[in-house]
Amino acid sequence: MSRIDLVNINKKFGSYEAIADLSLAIDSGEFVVFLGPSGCGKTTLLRMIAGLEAVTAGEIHIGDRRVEHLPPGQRGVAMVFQSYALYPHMTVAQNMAFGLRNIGTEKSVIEAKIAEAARILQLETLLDRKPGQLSGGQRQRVAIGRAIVKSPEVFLFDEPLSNLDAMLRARTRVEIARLHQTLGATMVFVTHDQIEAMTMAQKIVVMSNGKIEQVGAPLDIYRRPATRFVASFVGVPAMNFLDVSNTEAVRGKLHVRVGETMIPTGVPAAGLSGPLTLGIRPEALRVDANGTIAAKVDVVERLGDKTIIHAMLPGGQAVVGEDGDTSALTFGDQVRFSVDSARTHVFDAAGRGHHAEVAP
Amino acid sequence: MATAGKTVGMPLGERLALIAVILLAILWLLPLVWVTGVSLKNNTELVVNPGAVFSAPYTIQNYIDLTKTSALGTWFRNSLIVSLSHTVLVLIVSCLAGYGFARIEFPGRNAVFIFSLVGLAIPGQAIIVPLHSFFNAFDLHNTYAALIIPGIATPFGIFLMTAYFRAIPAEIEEAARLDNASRFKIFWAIALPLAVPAMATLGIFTFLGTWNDYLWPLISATRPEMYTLTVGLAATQTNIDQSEGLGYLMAQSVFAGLPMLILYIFFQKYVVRAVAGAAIR
Ligand SMILES: Nc1ncnc2c1ncn2[C@@H]1O[C@H](COP(=O)(O)OP(=O)(O)OP(=O)(O)O)[C@@H](O)[C@H]1O
Ligand SMILES: [Mg+2]
Repeated sequence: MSRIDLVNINKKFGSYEAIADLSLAIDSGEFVVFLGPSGCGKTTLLRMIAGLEAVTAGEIHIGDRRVEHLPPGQRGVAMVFQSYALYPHMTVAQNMAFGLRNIGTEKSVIEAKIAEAARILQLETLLDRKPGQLSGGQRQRVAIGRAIVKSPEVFLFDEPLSNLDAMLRARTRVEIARLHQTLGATMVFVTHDQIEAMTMAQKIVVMSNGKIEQVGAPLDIYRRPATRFVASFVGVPAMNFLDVSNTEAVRGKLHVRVGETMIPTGVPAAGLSGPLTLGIRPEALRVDANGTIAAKVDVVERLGDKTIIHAMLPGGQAVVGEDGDTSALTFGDQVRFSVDSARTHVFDAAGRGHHAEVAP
Repeated sequence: MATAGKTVGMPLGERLALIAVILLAILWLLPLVWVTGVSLKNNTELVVNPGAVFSAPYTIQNYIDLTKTSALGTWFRNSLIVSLSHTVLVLIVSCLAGYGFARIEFPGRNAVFIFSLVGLAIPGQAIIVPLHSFFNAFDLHNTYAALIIPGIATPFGIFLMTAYFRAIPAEIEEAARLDNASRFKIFWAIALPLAVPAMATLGIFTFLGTWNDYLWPLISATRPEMYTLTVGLAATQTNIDQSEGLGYLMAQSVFAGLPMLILYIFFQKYVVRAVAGAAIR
């Protein structure tokens, strides 16, 4: 259990800058998720914390030790790889024992730790098998077990669920969250899957192009995205972005013109000018006979509890809204949407987000 | 029963191929059968009727005589010492070099790697004269060292092991680094065990090659007590007039081939894989 501090980290591969001047504080015992699209530098950052990749510049602190020059084994971290990286020629028990043997742990202690990890992860009956004789999910648990036995200060996970099928992924998500509660260790989890991030994280770090876009609690990220990038990356279906042609302030709130329609938002008008973009999540754009926005239905997705409506504005722009579970809409229908102005967002020319909802 | 079951419903093409393979195998085995047959015949009978191989009576007298000649035992021991030592050394050098080229970054790595591969293009015969002068200069001819050392750094071995180590996922070794394993420990406890199939391939080829090698031992070992089996047998066979007869000669050959047979029986899986080229994948 340790805090992690990254201070002005920079990483270059040759002339390519994968991480540019990144600073981040992770609290002791916190579950942090690095979230971002492919190639944004999540793995690189995690590997630098692990010591598998050298930093080009900057400092890494784990607990009160400065570690960026220490070899991986001495940083007090354990990592679970996407490919699991189990030792194929060793049994499950030997896989877990290897790290402990290397630091000269007593045999009885090793056995006790393996038994404990096997109990937590339900591996008791598999201890004598080789990785080749295990299913994907079992291998995954062995990889986690190999991390647990070392009682590390920090757990690092690099997309550990991406090789599992959807059911198993959902279950393992819960297991890892439970593990975090039992062990209370600091955990850093890398994923490009926002559902994983939203459900598991206490703190999400949204990254893009080697930079941090936003750090915050999951709901904070969802409700008050700091940038247009975060707004578009988090949420399924994605937020609608509509170009604003004109604005006026009504009682301190911004009203924006999109096409022929004036849409009231809950965003404070003060200080907002220049080219703006209106952001509305699909759940804030509801089918409503008295709605202000007219559109033509394109695709209807029935999810059972609700219906997702893909529609086209008169200007030719596609929007995604929601209807109730028994929606009768079909392709080609005319439809009207109303906007929940309390849940609107406005993005300025620099992509910064302004929100109707105030911070909690 | 299993075999019968398998051929039922086999496409015609595969059946023909199977028949062709069986015929080839028989053709291939004939000389071996003939050699073994002759070795079991009485020498004087063979002089009268060399075609009597396939009819009784048979005798093991030639093999009993074999045990009485002291030189053959010495040559056999020489071959065994030379082949085993050479194979072990080739494995050590190839694994160390291969792992270095595959996993350790050092300046000029590619250049050195390519340089060591250039050796693949140089035929062994081309370097036999310099090699001879070299061992002459150190006065090492007629020693085990001279028979064992040449070729322990083999381009093929280095290439094979480099390719194999490169194919081991880097993440497995990274996991070992996080598990506090030293560089050498990773090599010894992770990489080497995973490379056993490639090492078996290389070891078998090397052992066979050394056991059957003729040219270098012929040149280097000039004293009969340093002969290897190949050289020793060839020496007796060129003196066929004075030798104890064809059956005896063939018994010697069977004896010389025994290690090959034993090797094959024990490592059949690896030999087949090696010949099929599957070990490189
Ligand atoms: N060893 C390397 N040499 C050169 N460039 C690299 C190296 N490792 C990573 N990169 C580059 O750094 C950038 C970040 O890579 P990284 O693997 O951290 O992405 P990621 O966010 O983990 O992506 P993904 O979700 O696909 O795993 C990428 O553009 C990648 O091409
Ligand atoms: Mg990655």
